[in-house]
Amino acid sequence: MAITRSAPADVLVPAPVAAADFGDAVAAALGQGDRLLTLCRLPGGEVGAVCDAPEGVRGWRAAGDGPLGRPSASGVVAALHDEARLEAEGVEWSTPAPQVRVHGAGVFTFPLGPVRADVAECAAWRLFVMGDEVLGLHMGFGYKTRGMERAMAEAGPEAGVLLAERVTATSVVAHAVAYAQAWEAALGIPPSPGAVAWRGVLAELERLHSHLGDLATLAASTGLPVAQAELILLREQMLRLNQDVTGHRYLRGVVGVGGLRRRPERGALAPARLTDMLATFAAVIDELDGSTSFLDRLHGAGRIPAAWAAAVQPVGPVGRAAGVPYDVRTDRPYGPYLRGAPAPALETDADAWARYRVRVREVEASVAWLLERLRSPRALDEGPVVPSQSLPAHPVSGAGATAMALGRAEGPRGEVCYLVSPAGAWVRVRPASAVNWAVLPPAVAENNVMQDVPIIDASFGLSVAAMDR
Amino acid sequence: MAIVYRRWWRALRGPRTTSFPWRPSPELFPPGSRPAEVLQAPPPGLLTRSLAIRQIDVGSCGGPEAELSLLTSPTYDISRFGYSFTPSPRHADLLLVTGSLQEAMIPVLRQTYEAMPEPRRVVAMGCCAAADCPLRPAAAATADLRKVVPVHVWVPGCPPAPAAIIAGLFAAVGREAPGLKEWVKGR
Repeated sequence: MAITRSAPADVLVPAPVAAADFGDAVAAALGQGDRLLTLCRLPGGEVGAVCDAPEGVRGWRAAGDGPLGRPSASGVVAALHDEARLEAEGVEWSTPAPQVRVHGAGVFTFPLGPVRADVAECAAWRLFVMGDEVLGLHMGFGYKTRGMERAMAEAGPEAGVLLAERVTATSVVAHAVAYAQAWEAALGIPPSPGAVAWRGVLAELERLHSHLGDLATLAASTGLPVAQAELILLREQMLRLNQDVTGHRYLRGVVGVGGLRRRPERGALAPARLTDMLATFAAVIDELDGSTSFLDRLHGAGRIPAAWAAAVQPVGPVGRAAGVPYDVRTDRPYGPYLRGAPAPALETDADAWARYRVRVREVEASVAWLLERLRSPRALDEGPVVPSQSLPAHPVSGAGATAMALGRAEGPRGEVCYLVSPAGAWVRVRPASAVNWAVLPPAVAENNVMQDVPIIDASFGLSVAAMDR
Repeated sequence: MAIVYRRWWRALRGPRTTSFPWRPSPELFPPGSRPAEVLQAPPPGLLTRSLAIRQIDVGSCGGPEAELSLLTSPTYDISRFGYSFTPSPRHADLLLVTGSLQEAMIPVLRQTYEAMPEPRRVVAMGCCAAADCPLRPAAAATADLRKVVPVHVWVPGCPPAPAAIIAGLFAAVGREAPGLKEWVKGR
């Protein structure tokens, strides 16, 4: 089978556009059906945008000062949160701010956070309610902006991967792989086949424990502690499997730029541990699918309005549950998925039930994919996985240095993009949650009551740490 | 009618999934984890066997929260020690601080700590809570957790494993976690 699909990462030469025309350039691309991958402020005062087009990746940078031209509505929505970041950095983006203002007799503002729930990340929510009905949601981020991009740029490619793994604990491998692929494209150092095979195994192991945790939270939010306990027990089993295979429960410290940092333990990855997990999982899901109290709460809860789904194009399970059939593993296959990706799951209901179904099917597909890889384990044992040559000094100087490169990977929560510049020594990251947070407020405001909010929150499975990076 | 029979059949048969451990797991500490460090003596108080815990995220990656959510799972089950999480700091006996402290969270942390009744114990979680952590993100460099609230116990780890967190909670009230001695001896 010949492999003719596109490369995992793309070296970019963003076209300079006058600041006033920048928005029009982005809007024109979005009008043709391209997807906005990231919109970020580049060092030196310029604003950059990267779009995913059928023929490859295209980029622009706003040359010069002045207000940026007005992009189309879809462009604004997709970049909703990055736009807030641009504003904070003093860049004027002349669009109507998508600020929620709800007022009137009987409207109550329900403040939630930054210290909220039993165990939760810090974010300040304001729910606008009238009686039981939720009218709107305003999300306040920025309580823990840790400056990860700056830290990664200062650390350089080799140590920076450790920081990329710590952007969010829900997508450790996905961030590390996207970061590594961006640097590998920029520096021209392909990883060994053994390292690529292992990256796929680690990414699917991460998907398993992440999805099991999300499903457990969902079961808990509907008041089903038995199902929650069963699922969280399976998650613990997967975390212990991770510990045995890589020495870290969350798979940190394994993926590196140019390959892996150390060879994982093949012997610990017994297929029986996966099949046992899947057998119990199937039984629990069967019980859940037969519980009307569970299904009643999920059906119709947090439905993403079709217009918002079309405009934002949410990524990951959230997107695939809303009929957006985008999966990096199948649409832009990279490294381990060039020879086949797990079977895609697609639903069109766009509600909590659809997101639940997508996650369930992805767990089954990931286990099947992993078992297939373990049946012919030669690729995992083949050749060295730790690169022998050291990386060039950081930052890379000279005329041959690549200006910009893009790396992306499909994490449990969706597509993760990294934009790196060896010449400029900077890193930008667009985590999956940065896109998906944009569809949460319209989904919450769509015929839901207060009791649905924990279910909707659990069904989205969004990361605050990825947003406040 | 078939649905009614199916329900009856389910009820008679009981749940098919009986994978709960009948006692919590003996493999509490994963290899490589470090024991909790007592930084300063926790204040004495009547409540040492039953604690209400308030968690506050001051700049974590989400890893500590993921491990904390396992504390109530059948494997670790902190309720058997009398511990529980509380949504309100007014009810909390212990403040569990996760992550590296960010500027914006300093007033929130102070307010949460002030809202707690005496005696207050503070446990910091995660390697990135330490000022000398090499992976500490850049923006956190100026903020020092110990200058804002008194930290009694620090649980290292990235993120610390659930068993290590339990040991840290025990250390915060001057008790010893089950299995800790054997684990320390075996290292």
